[in-house]
Amino acid sequence: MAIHPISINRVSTTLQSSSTLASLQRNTLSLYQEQNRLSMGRQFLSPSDDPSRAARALNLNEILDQQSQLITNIRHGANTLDATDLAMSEVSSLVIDAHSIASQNIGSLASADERTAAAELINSIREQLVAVGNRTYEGRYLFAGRDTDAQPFVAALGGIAYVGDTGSIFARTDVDDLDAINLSGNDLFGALSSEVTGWVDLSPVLSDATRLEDLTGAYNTGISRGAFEIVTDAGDVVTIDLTSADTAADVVDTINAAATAAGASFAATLTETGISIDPGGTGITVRDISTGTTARDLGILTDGSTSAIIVGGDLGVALSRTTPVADLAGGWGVDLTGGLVITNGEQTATVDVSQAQTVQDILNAINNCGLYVNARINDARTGIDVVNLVSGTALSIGENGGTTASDLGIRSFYGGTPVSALGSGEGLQTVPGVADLTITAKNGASFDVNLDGVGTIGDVIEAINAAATDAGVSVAADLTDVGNGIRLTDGTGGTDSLVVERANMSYAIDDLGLNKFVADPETILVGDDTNRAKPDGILSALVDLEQALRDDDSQGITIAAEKINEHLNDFNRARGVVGARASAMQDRLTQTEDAVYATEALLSDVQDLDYTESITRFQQAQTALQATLMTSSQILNTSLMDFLR
Amino acid sequence: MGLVNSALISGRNALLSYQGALQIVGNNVANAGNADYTRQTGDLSAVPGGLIGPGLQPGAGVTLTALQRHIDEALENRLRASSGDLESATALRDALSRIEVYFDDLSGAGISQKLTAFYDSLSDVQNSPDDLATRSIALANADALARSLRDTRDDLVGLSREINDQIESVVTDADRIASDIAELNTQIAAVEAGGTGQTGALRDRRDALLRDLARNFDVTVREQPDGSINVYIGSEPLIQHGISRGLTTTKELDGQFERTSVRFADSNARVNVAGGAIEGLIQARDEQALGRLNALDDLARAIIIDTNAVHADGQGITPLRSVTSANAVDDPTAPLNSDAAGLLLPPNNGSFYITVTDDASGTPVAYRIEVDLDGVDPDTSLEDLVTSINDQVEGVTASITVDNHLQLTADTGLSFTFGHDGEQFRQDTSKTLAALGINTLFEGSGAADITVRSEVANDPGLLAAATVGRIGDGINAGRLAGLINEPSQQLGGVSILDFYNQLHNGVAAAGAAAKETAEAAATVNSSLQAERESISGVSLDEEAIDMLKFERAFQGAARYVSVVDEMIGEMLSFIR
Repeated sequence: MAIHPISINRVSTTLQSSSTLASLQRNTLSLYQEQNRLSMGRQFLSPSDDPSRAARALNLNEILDQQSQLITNIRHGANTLDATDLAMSEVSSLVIDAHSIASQNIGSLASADERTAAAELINSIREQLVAVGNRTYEGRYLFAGRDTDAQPFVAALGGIAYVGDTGSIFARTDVDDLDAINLSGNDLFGALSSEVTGWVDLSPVLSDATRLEDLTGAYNTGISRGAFEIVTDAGDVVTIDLTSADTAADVVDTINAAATAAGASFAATLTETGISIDPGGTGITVRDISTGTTARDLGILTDGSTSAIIVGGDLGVALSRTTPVADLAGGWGVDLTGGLVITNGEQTATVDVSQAQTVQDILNAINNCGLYVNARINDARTGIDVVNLVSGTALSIGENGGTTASDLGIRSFYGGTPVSALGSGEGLQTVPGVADLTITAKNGASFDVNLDGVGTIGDVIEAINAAATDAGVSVAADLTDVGNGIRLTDGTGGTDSLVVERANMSYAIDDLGLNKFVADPETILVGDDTNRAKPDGILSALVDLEQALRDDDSQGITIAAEKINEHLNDFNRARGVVGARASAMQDRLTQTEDAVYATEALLSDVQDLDYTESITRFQQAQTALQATLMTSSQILNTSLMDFLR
Repeated sequence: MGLVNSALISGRNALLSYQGALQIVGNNVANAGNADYTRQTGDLSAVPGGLIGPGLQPGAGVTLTALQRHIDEALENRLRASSGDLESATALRDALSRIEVYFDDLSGAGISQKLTAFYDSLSDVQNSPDDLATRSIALANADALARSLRDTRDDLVGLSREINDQIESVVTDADRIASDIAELNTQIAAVEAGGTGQTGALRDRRDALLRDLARNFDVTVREQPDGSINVYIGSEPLIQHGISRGLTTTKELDGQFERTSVRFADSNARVNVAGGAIEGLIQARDEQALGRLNALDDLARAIIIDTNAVHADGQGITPLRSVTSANAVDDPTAPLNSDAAGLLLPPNNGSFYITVTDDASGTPVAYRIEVDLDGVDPDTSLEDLVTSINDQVEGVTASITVDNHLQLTADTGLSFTFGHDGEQFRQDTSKTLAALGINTLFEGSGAADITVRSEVANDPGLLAAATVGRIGDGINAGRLAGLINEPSQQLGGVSILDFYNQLHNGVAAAGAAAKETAEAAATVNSSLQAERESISGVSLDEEAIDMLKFERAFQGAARYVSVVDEMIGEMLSFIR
């Protein structure tokens, strides 16, 4: 570029020197800049040299930073999953060992001594399994859910309790992607596979204070907090904006405030199940705005204009830990005065929940009973489940003189219990066509009970009572009000024993827990709870196997061996899932590493210096400088003055 | 004949004229190195003489009639305007090149790296929520981020102060120049009064001062018939004849920033500057230094608010037994979202959970605290909140400190957390906790005072990595880590990182534009300089030729005089 882009007619001495100076400065500056570029290896020295490249370089640098963090996260996830997979492969071979021991002891060839020895082996396998379950990785218990600092499997109540958590641990494997990287002890051993599943819908009544996030919405899709419109027949469009509404009362207040502000006559009220809107004489239309679903979620959309009261859909209040007891079961409440009797394995505890204000008080009271049970709100958030945490014991929940367990729906053995669930899942085994039980009252009178075709425990009780009435024997059956089981009350006034006996070799007496008698002066016989919750996992199968081996019980060994085989299949499926996740994680790692290389290549393209080009430019600048120096020394040296004498 | 008289007079005139002309050439040669000098040439004119015959009037030699300064006043005006533009652009470019250094992320020391390092390290906390060392690193990164925001802001404030000082010194200088020009006006008017010539040296001096003044202000110059000039800044006169109104500066406190403004010394009226170095400096200060600073404040504010909102919903691994809110309200009886309460980010209608845990049993009991701020009375004030907590929550006592902070204290053997009900994650839909600064990470309201809360900095266990209070739960840390890329309401839907990038790229683009403008202004200016040099500059070669020419002319005249002398001698010899 010319120093002075104009045509000049006359060159003065100062112009000569100033333009020489300017040229020199320009040349040395470009040399300096080029030298800096070469020494820094960057195309631009400061962002303002090339703002668009600098912006891209900054962006790419940030992406690189984030990607390298993602790689750290993915490695962490992959390592954790690999450790999990390794532990699972150990579990797998241990369980295979146990299964082969069981197989060797099926049949009558093995002696009782051999079986006792095998039992010891099974015991040791079980201990090794527990050790694997308590495996740590980087100082954290692998199979404890989010309670990574506490040993998840502990010996308790004669079995093994899982006291870990069932939640997932996540790794951020992409900017907006979280992947679960752990397997809980429940997933590993089926440690929590059994629970007393709540059978009462405790869904609370809708109240002013109910949080919108605790509503399932009219279509079970939650309630989206947006805006909707109410159009009056007069043509007024009233927009109801619920974006800042927090509770059901806020919804009603917002609608009414909008109506007042617009001078419209409609008014909303809260019912026990939802929102209702009284149009107030004129017709109104409720509609969502474009793709919004708020009015739909509240179930108050109208099909055209209506002047009838709009009754919103059932919003389905979900049960939460803070739900007041008084709101439970649609506001009918529950009777908590009696309390609960909980039996797990050999131990029994009485739980007092009479002071409970909210659901969490009930849950906490049950969880703190010391029997390794976990009461929690079910996934559908409609009721309470109580999980037996111990592999190797059975859990029974009964009444303590009241109706608390039944009201809460957690009585393990109740009128509605299907007989198919009794025992270890084989169900009630009756002998078709003939009697299954013979009950002898204290006066010596007896009657037979045929249980063919009964569906529930309630049916069994009815069948007993009907048989007693038919036989004219004053024995009444019902469910006991303390603990759990069928209760027979003898009203004959006799002095013998009240006895329940097996009839026709039927197993029904065992399945109903009634293989009992009471001697005088007792008049009440209480059966056992035969619908106990017993975890059905690998550990409990091993407990059963060990017991069967010790008892020299061939049938028990066979059943346990079958169970172990079933669990092994399930377990291998779970292991396959972990393996797949681990390999997906590895793929992700490769992908992210590739992405890093690609980003680095781009960054280098944007930011790094092309040395050939730069050196060429440097040489050009050098040549220009030399030329300037040479020409200026020539020009500045010559003057007409030299020729004056 | 008039031989003796007129012939000798012709010779004498010529000798004197060429002597004068040579003196002018000499003066030009002497000033060849003076950039302010304006080349002068003498105007030679023939002198009319007596008749030597009927109708014959050959003239009486030559005389110097005028001294001409080779100057193009229009060009001078353009040159002044252009040097003002150049100085303005240069001042802006220089300021931006300094600001650019503060936002230099290419060398790996800028805010961008601090941002990604902090949010990335939260991902590490998500991976190892139980590890105090990892938490400490995250907190150290948070501190580094806060520090770099504060430092950058300090740098920008420092730059604006420096620019204020610069404006002051430039104005002091300009004031001196203006009074010098006024003084020269008087001198020039006096010297040139009645005469026909111009006082080259004084005018050169004045032109040089005018050029200096034009570098700093957008001046307009009007020459008066008496040779003095009036100088205007915009439409306001600065110098009239021999009087300068004077320029001075005052410091004004605008909000929290000091700004130096330029004023006329006589009336203290504000000078509206539309060009020159002062304009560049003011622009650099107001639009660049303080403008970027505002963006930086917005960024810091968004980091504080967004991070705190998520943090407040989480739980650390250190149990909370007594907390005091970081922020106070102005009036504990005013609704929390009112101006009277004065919280940085007012809470809204909603509710939050306090979950009290018994150390012995470890069982959580949750309470929901409603914050009624729907605008329908009664809205919740801090006092109402305290009452509500005390009424509902067993085992936690709420109180208001003397300086209007909220304090929560658990009974012995109890601790409390927020953000879950013992089972489920429960957001603080009212944002009250974040607004009051309870269970928050950052403190402050902008880049000036952003800090990591000392409680958390001292106890990494308080970093809220969990959403349901379990040690291996890092979900909240993950949510915090994700904030960097999430659209922020505080930033108009732009993410924190993108906002910073915009800020950085804005500085780079402004820097590039300023560089280009300065370069273009320099090109224009140097062209005009060259043009001026080509008209007003001294060429030694030219002067050498003039010297030869006048020397020869002088020699010719001398020879002529000696011829006339010889002639007179011849004549006188007749007399003997």
